[in-house]
Amino acid sequence: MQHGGAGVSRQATPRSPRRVDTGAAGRLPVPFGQFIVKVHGRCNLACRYCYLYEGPDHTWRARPAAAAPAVLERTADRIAEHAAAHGLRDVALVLHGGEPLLAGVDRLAALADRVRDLVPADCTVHTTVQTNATLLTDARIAALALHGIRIGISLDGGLASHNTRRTDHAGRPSWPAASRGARLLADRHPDAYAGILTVVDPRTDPVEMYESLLALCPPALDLLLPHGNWTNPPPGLPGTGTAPAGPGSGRPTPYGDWLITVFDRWWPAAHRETRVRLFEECIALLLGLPAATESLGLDPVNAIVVETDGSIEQVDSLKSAYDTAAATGLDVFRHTFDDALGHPGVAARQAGADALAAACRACPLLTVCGGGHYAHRYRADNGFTNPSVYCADLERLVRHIADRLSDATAGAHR
Amino acid sequence: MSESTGNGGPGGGSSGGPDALPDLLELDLEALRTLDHPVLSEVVADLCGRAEQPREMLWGFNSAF
Repeated sequence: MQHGGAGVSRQATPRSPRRVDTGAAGRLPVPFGQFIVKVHGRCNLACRYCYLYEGPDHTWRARPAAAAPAVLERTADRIAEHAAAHGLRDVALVLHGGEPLLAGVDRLAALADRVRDLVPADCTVHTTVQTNATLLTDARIAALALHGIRIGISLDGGLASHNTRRTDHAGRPSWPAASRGARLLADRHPDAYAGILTVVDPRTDPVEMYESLLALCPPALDLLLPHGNWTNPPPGLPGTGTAPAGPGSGRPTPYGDWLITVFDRWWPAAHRETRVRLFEECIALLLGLPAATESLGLDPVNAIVVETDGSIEQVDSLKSAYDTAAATGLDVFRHTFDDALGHPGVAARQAGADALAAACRACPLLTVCGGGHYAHRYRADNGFTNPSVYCADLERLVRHIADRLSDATAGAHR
Repeated sequence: MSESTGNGGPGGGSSGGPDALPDLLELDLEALRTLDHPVLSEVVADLCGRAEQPREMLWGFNSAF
Protein backbone atom coordinates (compact mmCIF):
# COMPACT_ATOMS: atom_id res chain seq x y z
CA MET A 1 0.00 0.00 0.00
CA GLN A 2 1.40 3.37 -0.97
CA HIS A 3 0.64 6.39 1.15
CA GLY A 4 0.03 9.81 -0.26
CA GLY A 5 -0.11 13.05 1.66
CA ALA A 6 -2.33 13.82 4.60
CA GLY A 7 -2.40 10.19 5.73
CA VAL A 8 -4.52 9.08 2.80
CA SER A 9 -3.86 5.73 1.18
CA ARG A 10 -3.33 5.14 -2.49
CA GLN A 11 -4.18 1.50 -2.85
CA ALA A 12 -4.08 -0.72 -5.90
CA THR A 13 -6.57 -3.53 -5.91
CA PRO A 14 -4.85 -6.88 -5.31
CA ARG A 15 -4.81 -9.38 -8.19
CA SER A 16 -6.62 -12.70 -8.11
CA PRO A 17 -7.64 -14.71 -6.31
CA ARG A 18 -10.25 -11.99 -6.32
CA ARG A 19 -11.92 -11.46 -3.01
CA VAL A 20 -14.59 -8.97 -2.40
CA ASP A 21 -14.16 -6.15 0.05
CA THR A 22 -17.31 -5.23 1.89
CA GLY A 23 -16.42 -2.43 4.23
CA ALA A 24 -14.03 0.31 5.08
CA ALA A 25 -13.78 0.07 8.85
CA GLY A 26 -10.48 1.53 9.96
CA ARG A 27 -9.37 2.24 6.42
CA LEU A 28 -8.01 5.60 5.34
CA PRO A 29 -10.17 7.66 2.93
CA VAL A 30 -9.66 7.32 -0.79
CA PRO A 31 -8.59 10.66 -2.28
CA PHE A 32 -10.90 12.38 -4.68
CA GLY A 33 -10.18 11.58 -8.28
CA GLN A 34 -13.23 13.03 -9.98
CA PHE A 35 -14.00 16.73 -9.72
CA ILE A 36 -17.40 17.92 -10.89
CA VAL A 37 -17.38 21.65 -11.47
CA LYS A 38 -20.70 23.45 -11.84
CA VAL A 39 -19.55 25.98 -14.40
CA HIS A 40 -23.13 27.16 -14.79
CA GLY A 41 -25.97 26.81 -12.34
CA ARG A 42 -28.94 27.27 -14.63
CA CYS A 43 -30.27 25.33 -17.59
CA ASN A 44 -31.86 26.37 -20.84
CA LEU A 45 -34.21 23.42 -20.46
CA ALA A 46 -36.84 22.68 -17.83
CA CYS A 47 -37.07 18.88 -17.89
CA ARG A 48 -40.00 17.92 -15.72
CA TYR A 49 -38.17 15.22 -13.81
CA CYS A 50 -34.95 17.15 -13.21
CA TYR A 51 -33.48 16.17 -9.87
CA LEU A 52 -31.81 19.57 -9.50
CA TYR A 53 -34.50 22.06 -10.41
CA GLU A 54 -37.72 20.12 -9.88
CA GLY A 55 -36.74 18.35 -6.66
CA PRO A 56 -36.71 19.28 -2.98
CA ASP A 57 -33.39 21.14 -3.08
CA HIS A 58 -33.59 24.89 -3.61
CA THR A 59 -30.00 25.91 -2.98
CA TRP A 60 -29.53 26.76 -6.65
CA ARG A 61 -31.86 29.74 -6.33
CA ALA A 62 -29.47 31.71 -4.12
CA ARG A 63 -26.34 30.83 -6.06
CA PRO A 64 -24.87 32.77 -8.95
CA ALA A 65 -26.02 31.54 -12.32
CA ALA A 66 -22.47 31.33 -13.64
CA ALA A 67 -19.26 30.46 -11.85
CA ALA A 68 -17.05 33.54 -11.81
CA PRO A 69 -13.50 33.30 -13.19
CA ALA A 70 -12.11 33.67 -9.68
CA VAL A 71 -14.11 30.65 -8.54
CA LEU A 72 -12.93 28.54 -11.46
CA GLU A 73 -9.32 29.60 -11.00
CA ARG A 74 -9.39 28.76 -7.31
CA THR A 75 -11.07 25.43 -8.08
CA ALA A 76 -8.31 24.58 -10.52
CA ASP A 77 -5.73 25.48 -7.87
CA ARG A 78 -7.41 23.17 -5.34
CA ILE A 79 -7.63 20.29 -7.82
CA ALA A 80 -3.94 20.61 -8.58
CA GLU A 81 -3.14 20.82 -4.88
CA HIS A 82 -5.05 17.59 -4.24
CA ALA A 83 -3.45 15.81 -7.17
CA ALA A 84 0.01 16.76 -5.95
CA ALA A 85 -0.68 15.88 -2.33
CA HIS A 86 -1.83 12.39 -3.23
CA GLY A 87 0.41 11.65 -6.18
CA LEU A 88 -2.53 11.20 -8.50
CA ARG A 89 -1.57 10.03 -11.97
CA ASP A 90 -5.02 10.64 -13.43
CA VAL A 91 -7.87 12.92 -12.50
CA ALA A 92 -11.28 13.39 -14.07
CA LEU A 93 -12.56 16.92 -14.54
CA VAL A 94 -16.28 17.02 -15.26
CA LEU A 95 -17.74 20.29 -16.52
CA HIS A 96 -21.33 20.23 -15.37
CA GLY A 97 -24.38 22.26 -14.43
CA GLY A 98 -27.22 23.11 -15.12
CA GLU A 99 -26.19 23.39 -18.70
CA PRO A 100 -22.43 23.95 -18.80
CA LEU A 101 -22.36 25.34 -22.35
CA LEU A 102 -24.21 28.40 -21.04
CA ALA A 103 -20.87 29.37 -19.52
CA GLY A 104 -19.38 29.69 -22.99
CA VAL A 105 -16.80 27.47 -24.59
CA ASP A 106 -13.97 29.90 -23.82
CA ARG A 107 -14.59 29.63 -20.10
CA LEU A 108 -14.75 25.84 -20.24
CA ALA A 109 -11.54 25.70 -22.24
CA ALA A 110 -9.77 28.07 -19.87
CA LEU A 111 -10.68 25.92 -16.88
CA ALA A 112 -9.57 22.72 -18.59
CA ASP A 113 -6.30 24.31 -19.63
CA ARG A 114 -5.61 25.74 -16.18
CA VAL A 115 -6.14 22.41 -14.43
CA ARG A 116 -3.92 20.70 -16.96
CA ASP A 117 -1.22 23.34 -16.51
CA LEU A 118 -1.24 23.21 -12.72
CA VAL A 119 -1.36 19.50 -11.95
CA PRO A 120 1.97 17.67 -11.60
CA ALA A 121 3.69 16.80 -14.85
CA ASP A 122 2.95 13.09 -14.48
CA CYS A 123 -0.79 13.65 -13.89
CA THR A 124 -3.18 13.29 -16.82
CA VAL A 125 -6.41 15.26 -16.72
CA HIS A 126 -9.38 13.62 -18.42
CA THR A 127 -11.96 16.32 -19.10
CA THR A 128 -15.54 15.87 -20.16
CA VAL A 129 -18.52 18.17 -20.41
CA GLN A 130 -22.02 16.80 -19.88
CA THR A 131 -24.54 18.73 -21.96
CA ASN A 132 -28.13 18.52 -23.16
CA ALA A 133 -26.69 18.92 -26.69
CA THR A 134 -29.06 21.76 -27.66
CA LEU A 135 -26.23 24.31 -27.77
CA LEU A 136 -23.75 22.17 -29.67
CA THR A 137 -22.53 23.61 -32.94
CA ASP A 138 -19.75 22.44 -35.17
CA ALA A 139 -17.55 25.32 -34.04
CA ARG A 140 -18.20 24.74 -30.35
CA ILE A 141 -17.54 21.02 -30.58
CA ALA A 142 -14.32 21.69 -32.46
CA ALA A 143 -13.21 24.20 -29.84
CA LEU A 144 -13.95 21.84 -26.98
CA ALA A 145 -12.10 19.03 -28.72
CA LEU A 146 -9.13 21.30 -29.36
CA HIS A 147 -8.84 21.78 -25.61
CA GLY A 148 -9.07 18.08 -24.90
CA ILE A 149 -12.67 18.13 -23.71
CA ARG A 150 -14.84 15.15 -24.61
CA ILE A 151 -18.58 15.57 -24.77
CA GLY A 152 -21.27 13.51 -23.08
CA ILE A 153 -24.88 14.21 -23.92
CA SER A 154 -28.09 13.65 -21.99
CA LEU A 155 -31.05 12.35 -23.93
CA ASP A 156 -33.94 10.12 -23.01
CA GLY A 157 -33.85 8.18 -26.23
CA GLY A 158 -33.15 8.57 -29.91
CA LEU A 159 -36.64 9.55 -31.00
CA ALA A 160 -38.66 12.71 -30.50
CA SER A 161 -41.29 10.68 -28.65
CA HIS A 162 -38.70 9.66 -26.04
CA ASN A 163 -37.84 13.24 -25.23
CA THR A 164 -41.22 14.85 -24.72
CA ARG A 165 -40.37 15.67 -21.11
CA ARG A 166 -37.22 17.48 -22.15
CA THR A 167 -38.63 20.91 -22.91
CA ASP A 168 -37.41 24.45 -22.61
CA HIS A 169 -38.86 26.99 -20.17
CA ALA A 170 -41.63 27.82 -22.63
CA GLY A 171 -42.60 24.17 -22.95
CA ARG A 172 -41.13 23.76 -26.41
CA PRO A 173 -39.48 20.43 -27.25
CA SER A 174 -35.70 20.32 -27.08
CA TRP A 175 -35.49 17.39 -29.47
CA PRO A 176 -34.83 19.26 -32.75
CA ALA A 177 -31.82 21.09 -31.33
CA ALA A 178 -30.63 18.16 -29.22
CA SER A 179 -30.78 15.70 -32.07
CA ARG A 180 -28.97 18.13 -34.34
CA GLY A 181 -26.22 18.46 -31.74
CA ALA A 182 -26.01 14.71 -31.27
CA ARG A 183 -25.74 14.12 -35.00
CA LEU A 184 -23.00 16.76 -35.33
CA LEU A 185 -21.04 15.05 -32.64
CA ALA A 186 -21.47 11.57 -34.09
CA ASP A 187 -20.92 12.50 -37.73
CA ARG A 188 -18.20 15.14 -37.55
CA HIS A 189 -16.41 14.72 -34.22
CA PRO A 190 -16.65 11.08 -33.10
CA ASP A 191 -13.33 11.28 -31.26
CA ALA A 192 -14.82 13.90 -28.95
CA TYR A 193 -17.97 11.88 -28.28
CA ALA A 194 -18.06 10.42 -24.78
CA GLY A 195 -21.51 8.91 -24.81
CA ILE A 196 -25.18 9.29 -23.97
CA LEU A 197 -26.86 9.27 -20.58
CA THR A 198 -30.48 8.17 -20.61
CA VAL A 199 -32.96 8.16 -17.76
CA VAL A 200 -35.06 5.02 -17.86
CA ASP A 201 -38.80 5.34 -18.48
CA PRO A 202 -40.35 1.87 -18.16
CA ARG A 203 -43.36 2.99 -20.19
CA THR A 204 -41.20 3.03 -23.32
CA ASP A 205 -40.39 0.07 -25.49
CA PRO A 206 -36.91 -0.91 -24.27
CA VAL A 207 -35.59 -2.39 -27.51
CA GLU A 208 -36.90 0.50 -29.57
CA MET A 209 -35.29 2.89 -27.09
CA TYR A 210 -31.94 1.10 -27.15
CA GLU A 211 -31.88 0.84 -30.93
CA SER A 212 -32.80 4.50 -31.33
CA LEU A 213 -29.82 5.38 -29.16
CA LEU A 214 -27.57 3.13 -31.23
CA ALA A 215 -28.61 5.12 -34.28
CA LEU A 216 -26.86 8.12 -32.69
CA CYS A 217 -23.59 6.11 -32.69
CA PRO A 218 -22.56 6.60 -29.06
CA PRO A 219 -19.35 4.89 -27.93
CA ALA A 220 -21.04 4.35 -24.58
CA LEU A 221 -24.42 4.59 -22.90
CA ASP A 222 -25.56 4.62 -19.37
CA LEU A 223 -29.10 3.82 -18.32
CA LEU A 224 -29.97 5.71 -15.18
CA LEU A 225 -32.78 4.99 -12.78
CA PRO A 226 -34.69 8.23 -12.09
CA HIS A 227 -33.83 9.69 -8.73
CA GLY A 228 -36.38 8.93 -6.08
CA ASN A 229 -36.55 7.41 -2.65
CA TRP A 230 -38.95 5.95 -0.07
CA THR A 231 -40.37 9.38 0.75
CA ASN A 232 -40.56 10.69 -2.81
CA PRO A 233 -40.81 7.55 -4.87
CA PRO A 234 -39.91 7.26 -8.53
CA PRO A 235 -42.79 6.91 -10.97
CA GLY A 236 -44.32 3.45 -11.01
CA LEU A 237 -43.06 2.29 -7.61
CA PRO A 238 -44.71 2.20 -4.16
CA GLY A 239 -43.46 4.75 -1.64
CA THR A 240 -44.61 6.29 1.57
CA GLY A 241 -46.84 4.40 3.94
CA THR A 242 -44.95 1.18 3.45
CA ALA A 243 -41.86 0.11 5.32
CA PRO A 244 -38.81 -0.07 3.07
CA ALA A 245 -38.90 -3.50 1.52
CA GLY A 246 -35.61 -5.34 1.31
CA PRO A 247 -34.55 -8.15 -0.95
CA GLY A 248 -37.11 -10.81 -1.81
CA SER A 249 -40.09 -8.49 -1.47
CA GLY A 250 -41.80 -9.96 -4.54
CA ARG A 251 -43.16 -6.64 -5.73
CA PRO A 252 -43.45 -5.89 -9.47
CA THR A 253 -40.18 -4.78 -11.05
CA PRO A 254 -40.96 -2.48 -13.97
CA TYR A 255 -37.47 -0.99 -14.06
CA GLY A 256 -35.74 -4.34 -13.67
CA ASP A 257 -37.86 -5.87 -16.41
CA TRP A 258 -37.13 -2.97 -18.74
CA LEU A 259 -33.40 -3.16 -18.15
CA ILE A 260 -33.13 -6.90 -18.66
CA THR A 261 -34.96 -6.55 -21.96
CA VAL A 262 -32.28 -4.12 -23.08
CA PHE A 263 -29.61 -6.43 -21.70
CA ASP A 264 -31.01 -9.36 -23.67
CA ARG A 265 -30.81 -7.27 -26.83
CA TRP A 266 -27.25 -6.08 -26.09
CA TRP A 267 -25.64 -9.26 -24.74
CA PRO A 268 -26.02 -11.74 -27.62
CA ALA A 269 -25.09 -9.32 -30.40
CA ALA A 270 -22.44 -10.30 -32.92
CA HIS A 271 -20.23 -7.59 -31.51
CA ARG A 272 -20.46 -5.00 -28.73
CA GLU A 273 -22.52 -2.34 -30.44
CA THR A 274 -21.86 0.14 -27.66
CA ARG A 275 -20.60 0.04 -24.09
CA VAL A 276 -23.43 0.06 -21.59
CA ARG A 277 -21.94 1.23 -18.33
CA LEU A 278 -24.60 -0.21 -16.01
CA PHE A 279 -24.33 -3.68 -17.50
CA GLU A 280 -20.56 -3.67 -17.74
CA GLU A 281 -20.06 -2.51 -14.19
CA CYS A 282 -22.45 -5.24 -13.02
CA ILE A 283 -20.35 -7.77 -14.89
CA ALA A 284 -17.20 -6.37 -13.30
CA LEU A 285 -18.70 -6.79 -9.84
CA LEU A 286 -19.89 -10.31 -10.57
CA LEU A 287 -16.34 -11.16 -11.58
CA GLY A 288 -15.06 -9.74 -8.29
CA LEU A 289 -13.57 -6.57 -9.75
CA PRO A 290 -14.15 -3.06 -8.45
CA ALA A 291 -16.71 -0.94 -10.23
CA ALA A 292 -16.83 2.58 -11.58
CA THR A 293 -20.44 3.50 -10.95
CA GLU A 294 -22.60 4.88 -8.18
CA SER A 295 -25.44 2.58 -9.23
CA LEU A 296 -24.00 -0.66 -7.91
CA GLY A 297 -21.29 -2.08 -5.69
CA LEU A 298 -19.55 -1.11 -2.50
CA ASP A 299 -16.61 0.80 -3.90
CA PRO A 300 -15.82 4.15 -2.32
CA VAL A 301 -17.18 7.22 -4.08
CA ASN A 302 -14.31 9.54 -4.86
CA ALA A 303 -16.21 12.32 -6.58
CA ILE A 304 -16.68 15.82 -5.23
CA VAL A 305 -18.59 18.83 -6.54
CA VAL A 306 -17.75 22.52 -6.65
CA GLU A 307 -20.76 24.78 -7.05
CA THR A 308 -20.94 28.11 -8.92
CA ASP A 309 -20.11 30.07 -5.76
CA GLY A 310 -17.13 27.89 -4.89
CA SER A 311 -18.97 25.77 -2.32
CA ILE A 312 -17.62 22.25 -2.02
CA GLU A 313 -20.52 19.82 -2.04
CA GLN A 314 -21.20 16.12 -2.02
CA VAL A 315 -22.38 14.41 -5.19
CA ASP A 316 -25.44 16.34 -6.29
CA SER A 317 -27.81 13.40 -6.62
CA LEU A 318 -28.20 13.78 -2.88
CA LYS A 319 -30.28 16.86 -3.65
CA SER A 320 -33.07 14.52 -4.70
CA ALA A 321 -33.45 13.58 -1.02
CA TYR A 322 -33.96 16.93 0.74
CA ASP A 323 -33.04 20.58 0.61
CA THR A 324 -29.34 21.23 1.36
CA ALA A 325 -28.61 17.50 1.45
CA ALA A 326 -25.35 17.93 -0.47
CA ALA A 327 -23.97 20.80 1.63
CA THR A 328 -20.66 20.49 3.49
CA GLY A 329 -20.08 24.03 4.76
CA LEU A 330 -16.76 24.07 2.90
CA ASP A 331 -15.58 26.11 -0.06
CA VAL A 332 -12.54 26.29 -2.32
CA PHE A 333 -11.41 29.66 -0.96
CA ARG A 334 -11.09 28.58 2.65
CA HIS A 335 -10.73 24.80 2.51
CA THR A 336 -8.85 22.04 0.77
CA PHE A 337 -10.33 18.92 -0.75
CA ASP A 338 -8.68 17.00 2.09
CA ASP A 339 -10.98 18.92 4.42
CA ALA A 340 -13.90 17.53 2.41
CA LEU A 341 -12.59 13.98 2.77
CA GLY A 342 -13.24 14.29 6.48
CA HIS A 343 -16.89 15.29 6.07
CA PRO A 344 -19.25 12.62 7.48
CA GLY A 345 -21.35 12.57 4.32
CA VAL A 346 -18.30 11.93 2.18
CA ALA A 347 -17.09 9.28 4.59
CA ALA A 348 -20.45 7.54 4.43
CA ARG A 349 -20.04 7.19 0.65
CA GLN A 350 -16.68 5.51 1.23
CA ALA A 351 -17.82 3.21 4.03
CA GLY A 352 -18.95 0.29 1.90
CA ALA A 353 -21.24 -2.18 3.62
CA ASP A 354 -20.77 -0.41 6.96
CA ALA A 355 -23.19 2.29 5.75
CA LEU A 356 -25.90 -0.16 4.69
CA ALA A 357 -29.08 -1.42 6.29
CA ALA A 358 -28.93 -4.81 8.01
CA ALA A 359 -31.11 -6.32 5.29
CA CYS A 360 -28.55 -5.30 2.68
CA ARG A 361 -25.59 -6.57 4.67
CA ALA A 362 -27.29 -9.98 4.94
CA CYS A 363 -28.26 -10.13 1.28
CA PRO A 364 -26.55 -12.60 -1.06
CA LEU A 365 -26.35 -9.81 -3.65
CA LEU A 366 -24.51 -7.45 -1.28
CA THR A 367 -21.20 -7.13 -3.08
CA VAL A 368 -22.77 -6.63 -6.51
CA CYS A 369 -25.84 -4.54 -5.72
CA GLY A 370 -24.15 -2.73 -2.87
CA GLY A 371 -27.49 -1.22 -1.87
CA GLY A 372 -27.77 0.52 -5.22
CA HIS A 373 -27.43 4.26 -5.53
CA TYR A 374 -27.01 6.00 -2.19
CA ALA A 375 -29.66 8.65 -2.86
CA HIS A 376 -32.27 5.99 -3.58
CA ARG A 377 -32.08 4.67 -0.01
CA TYR A 378 -33.39 7.82 1.63
CA ARG A 379 -36.41 7.99 3.86
CA ALA A 380 -37.28 11.14 5.77
CA ASP A 381 -37.60 9.51 9.19
CA ASN A 382 -34.31 7.61 9.20
CA GLY A 383 -31.99 8.88 6.49
CA PHE A 384 -30.06 6.61 4.17
CA THR A 385 -29.89 3.37 6.15
CA ASN A 386 -32.47 1.54 4.08
CA PRO A 387 -32.42 -0.76 1.10
CA SER A 388 -32.81 1.01 -2.20
CA VAL A 389 -36.32 2.00 -3.23
CA TYR A 390 -35.35 0.03 -6.35
CA CYS A 391 -34.26 -3.04 -4.38
CA ALA A 392 -36.53 -5.51 -6.16
CA ASP A 393 -35.60 -4.11 -9.58
CA LEU A 394 -31.89 -4.30 -8.79
CA GLU A 395 -32.31 -7.86 -7.58
CA ARG A 396 -34.07 -8.76 -10.81
CA LEU A 397 -31.36 -7.15 -12.92
CA VAL A 398 -28.37 -8.51 -11.02
CA ARG A 399 -29.69 -12.08 -10.91
CA HIS A 400 -30.49 -11.96 -14.60
CA ILE A 401 -27.03 -10.71 -15.58
CA ALA A 402 -25.43 -13.23 -13.23
CA ASP A 403 -27.35 -16.07 -14.85
CA ARG A 404 -26.45 -14.93 -18.37
CA LEU A 405 -22.81 -14.52 -17.40
CA SER A 406 -22.78 -17.92 -15.73
CA ASP A 407 -24.28 -19.51 -18.84
CA ALA A 408 -21.70 -17.85 -21.07
CA THR A 409 -18.77 -18.91 -18.91
CA ALA A 410 -19.91 -22.44 -18.12
CA GLY A 411 -16.99 -23.98 -19.96
CA ALA A 412 -14.34 -21.50 -18.87
CA HIS A 413 -11.19 -22.75 -17.12
CA ARG A 414 -10.99 -22.01 -13.41
CA MET B 1 -10.06 -5.74 -2.30
CA SER B 2 -8.30 -7.88 0.24
CA GLU B 3 -10.88 -9.50 2.47
CA SER B 4 -13.23 -12.35 1.88
CA THR B 5 -16.86 -11.71 2.59
CA GLY B 6 -17.38 -15.13 4.04
CA ASN B 7 -16.86 -18.43 2.36
CA GLY B 8 -15.67 -17.27 -1.02
CA GLY B 9 -18.84 -16.43 -2.92
CA PRO B 10 -20.22 -12.97 -3.57
CA GLY B 11 -22.67 -11.56 -1.11
CA GLY B 12 -22.96 -11.19 2.60
CA GLY B 13 -25.48 -13.95 3.03
CA SER B 14 -24.77 -17.66 3.24
CA SER B 15 -22.41 -18.57 0.44
CA GLY B 16 -23.73 -21.40 -1.72
CA GLY B 17 -27.23 -21.09 -0.28
CA PRO B 18 -30.33 -21.31 -2.46
CA ASP B 19 -30.41 -17.54 -3.01
CA ALA B 20 -26.70 -17.11 -3.64
CA LEU B 21 -25.43 -15.72 -6.90
CA PRO B 22 -23.30 -18.00 -9.05
CA ASP B 23 -19.70 -17.86 -7.89
CA LEU B 24 -17.77 -16.22 -10.71
CA LEU B 25 -14.86 -14.91 -8.67
CA GLU B 26 -12.38 -17.59 -9.68
CA LEU B 27 -12.87 -17.33 -13.43
CA ASP B 28 -9.69 -16.63 -15.35
CA LEU B 29 -10.20 -13.31 -17.10
CA GLU B 30 -7.77 -14.09 -19.89
CA ALA B 31 -9.63 -17.32 -20.58
CA LEU B 32 -12.91 -15.43 -20.79
CA ARG B 33 -11.51 -13.35 -23.62
CA THR B 34 -11.16 -16.48 -25.73
CA LEU B 35 -14.72 -17.67 -25.34
CA ASP B 36 -16.98 -17.54 -28.33
CA HIS B 37 -19.00 -14.65 -26.92
CA PRO B 38 -18.13 -11.39 -28.65
CA VAL B 39 -19.72 -9.00 -26.14
CA LEU B 40 -18.25 -10.80 -23.12
CA SER B 41 -14.82 -10.89 -24.77
CA GLU B 42 -14.87 -7.15 -25.41
CA VAL B 43 -16.11 -6.34 -21.92
CA VAL B 44 -13.47 -8.51 -20.28
CA ALA B 45 -10.76 -7.00 -22.49
CA ASP B 46 -11.64 -3.62 -21.01
CA LEU B 47 -11.69 -5.02 -17.48
CA CYS B 48 -8.45 -6.96 -17.54
CA GLY B 49 -6.35 -4.11 -16.21
CA ARG B 50 -8.85 -2.98 -13.64
CA ALA B 51 -7.60 -5.04 -10.70
CA GLU B 52 -4.28 -3.17 -10.86
CA GLN B 53 -5.77 0.31 -11.19
CA PRO B 54 -5.53 2.62 -8.20
CA ARG B 55 -8.90 3.26 -6.62
CA GLU B 56 -8.80 6.94 -7.49
CA MET B 57 -9.00 6.01 -11.19
CA LEU B 58 -12.39 4.43 -10.75
CA TRP B 59 -14.69 7.33 -11.43
CA GLY B 60 -18.23 6.52 -10.49
CA PHE B 61 -20.16 9.80 -10.80
CA ASN B 62 -23.27 8.74 -12.67
CA SER B 63 -24.53 12.04 -14.02
CA ALA B 64 -21.74 12.41 -16.57
CA PHE B 65 -19.29 10.47 -18.70
